[in-house]
Amino acid sequence: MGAEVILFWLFAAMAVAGGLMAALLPRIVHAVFSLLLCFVGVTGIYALAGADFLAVTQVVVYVGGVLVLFAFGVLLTGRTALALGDKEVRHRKTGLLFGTLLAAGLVTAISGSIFRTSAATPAEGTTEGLGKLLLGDYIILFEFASVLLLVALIGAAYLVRRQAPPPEPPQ
Amino acid sequence: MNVGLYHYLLLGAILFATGVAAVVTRRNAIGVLIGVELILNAANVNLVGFSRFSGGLDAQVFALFVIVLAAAEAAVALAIILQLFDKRTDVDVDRASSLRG
Repeated sequence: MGAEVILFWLFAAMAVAGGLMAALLPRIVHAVFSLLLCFVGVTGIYALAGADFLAVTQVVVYVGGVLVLFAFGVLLTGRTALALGDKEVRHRKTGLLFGTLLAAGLVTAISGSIFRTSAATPAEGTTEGLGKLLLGDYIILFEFASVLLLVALIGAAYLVRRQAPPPEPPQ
Repeated sequence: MNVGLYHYLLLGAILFATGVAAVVTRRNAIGVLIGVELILNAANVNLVGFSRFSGGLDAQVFALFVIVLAAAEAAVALAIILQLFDKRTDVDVDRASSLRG
């Protein structure tokens, strides 16, 4: 077995273990931190697959952005999250059974299908190619994504604003 | 034995299943959001696998857009959760049914 196979299984195990813990751990803080394990594992998978730009983006956006956001959310809503305690995960057995069945179904479907693949491309830098695609073929999508981010930013700021007190009636 | 497309797809399927399990079992709204992030990551693992074994970079562009969407979705969803917490002092999705007709 080459080093790539060993690393793949290592990162895949990290991702799956983190995902399982994020789904099943009763305390939401623990779930957020196991999500970190999952994201790091997925980043390793990207790096192994030669998607270097995507791996860096994953670290910057998910680990540096989304997880910090989640941590803030847990801190700001923490009082009741702790109070929920054991009841935080409901129908644990049904959820586990459902997840297992779903995974089994998907795995069966995937192993039963035939994909036309070309040989694995040798790992080389993808940043230049991605930049050319983003500003070439996908320029419209790129612009839409920037508008979407702006809308999401304004919407989020609008949603969390403090309600202004009603104006004083004129004397 | 080499790493093939099937390995990426299997990893994506398992991550997707854990994400769906988190979405359906978590009562905390942030837990549901964690499940959604797992699902989006599963999609990205699939896209990266397809990109590796098809020789093109287009799938990676889609993965980048998925990341953008995930970031926007997390920001808006957390804003909604904070408003919910402000109004009801809990983030239990089972009890957040005031929009029900």
